[in-house]
Amino acid sequence: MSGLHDDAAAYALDALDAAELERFEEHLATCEACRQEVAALQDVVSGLAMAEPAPLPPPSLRASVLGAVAGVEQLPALEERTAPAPTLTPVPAAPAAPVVAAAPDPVVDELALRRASRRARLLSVAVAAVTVVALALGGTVWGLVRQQQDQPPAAGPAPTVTVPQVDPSLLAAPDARIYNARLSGTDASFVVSKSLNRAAFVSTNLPAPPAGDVYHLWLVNGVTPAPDNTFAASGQTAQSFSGPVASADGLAINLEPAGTSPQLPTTPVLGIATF
Amino acid sequence: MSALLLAPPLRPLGVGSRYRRRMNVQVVPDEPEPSGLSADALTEQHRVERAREAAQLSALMLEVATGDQDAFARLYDATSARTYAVVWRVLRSSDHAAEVTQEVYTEVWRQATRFDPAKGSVNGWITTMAHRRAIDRVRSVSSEVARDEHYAVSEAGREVDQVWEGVSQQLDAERVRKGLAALTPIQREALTLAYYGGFSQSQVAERLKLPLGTVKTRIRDGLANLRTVLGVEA
Repeated sequence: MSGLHDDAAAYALDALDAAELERFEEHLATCEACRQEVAALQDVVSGLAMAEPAPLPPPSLRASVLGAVAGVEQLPALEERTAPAPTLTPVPAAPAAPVVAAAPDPVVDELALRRASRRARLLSVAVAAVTVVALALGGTVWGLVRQQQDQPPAAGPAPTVTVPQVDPSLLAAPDARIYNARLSGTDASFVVSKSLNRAAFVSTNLPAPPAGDVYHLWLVNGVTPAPDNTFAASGQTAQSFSGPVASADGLAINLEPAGTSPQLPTTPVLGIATF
Repeated sequence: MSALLLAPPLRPLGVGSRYRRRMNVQVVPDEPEPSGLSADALTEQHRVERAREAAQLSALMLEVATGDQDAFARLYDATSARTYAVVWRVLRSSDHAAEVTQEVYTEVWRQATRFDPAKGSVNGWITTMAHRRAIDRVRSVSSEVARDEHYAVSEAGREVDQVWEGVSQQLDAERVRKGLAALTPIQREALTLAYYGGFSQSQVAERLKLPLGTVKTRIRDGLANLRTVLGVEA
């Protein structure tokens, strides 16, 4: 550990003087390990405030705060990344061709990012708009749809390749919507049709879960998450929900230790969308 | 868009709060469990509860980021006791604390669109912002002498009646207290001087008459120990 790494604790405590602060923030910009360390330590530090009793905020403060923000405009959301121009990638029609292997690097659609970045912006999907979906998901869904059309479910997938599937009827549902799942550094969305009572999580570049963990999907009802399906896939991923989507108020995803069935998330939610 | 993802409902504080604070003693995790729950089971329950609260707050922030002022009011209700406590503990003045808290929430509102649940908790995000602003304020308005007096007052203790609502918060508060108590005196002194006193690590070193390197080590080890006690995941 260099001296700079050592300053993460003092940084989290706001205990660096001006010169140290400048030096450490320069370092922080280039050191992912320190950023993670700082985030974890800031959570610890936030607990320090609770160690001893402190007075309550004066009741009048609530009205002042709410009044103060009424005229304040919110900052525009940050563009999460600069994206290349969207391209519709041809997908091999041969049924046995593994889509996963044939797919190009994930393509990020700038339009979709702009539309979705602020929070679960809607993108209506009608039958004619499947192309839009394909753009939004970098060709993945397009590929999946084509795959399914070319290869009816009765035929089953190629024996050695597991191809993630989004049922075209979900995408084609008149009320189907795409919600940005807001997974950091990952292109991922929830596709939802309340009329069909179905939803799916889709991603083009989902990181593999850490050893011993699997992804858990959650239906959020009011304030309470309810467990749904689990999966361990990575890369191009499509995973359906099995619970009652029609009555849910949101969807979320996190990691849980493999083999466990927690009734509530035990680790931070990685991605979430609210309807 | 619905606004159904709510923060945990918090009762208004104040009335009967001292009584509830005494009640907290009943949920100390390592006391014998009359129900037969092991300490481990309770800790697990606590962890689940905390994760649930964190997920709810993250969801609420997403609502706030759409410009939803009702959601913002709920966020204030769910987090303002902690935020104000952070600011007050540094500034030791209710007037300054109210002003800075208002500044903090204005920033929370402005920057809600930039909050990223994958990068940390809502509580961590807000309290970090609050502490930084309180430190800025104390460093700009207080002379060294005035800060010494502030700190002396804090050490003398004051009659205050904050309580933490919710089992999870009560357990957190209890565990932070225990965690601090388990540190070495120098670790504890260095952490509290830096966090509550608003002193930089160099100033802490001067006050404790210790080499800067020693203070850095104490601060680092002290926070690492607290982190272990609090079970905060990396």
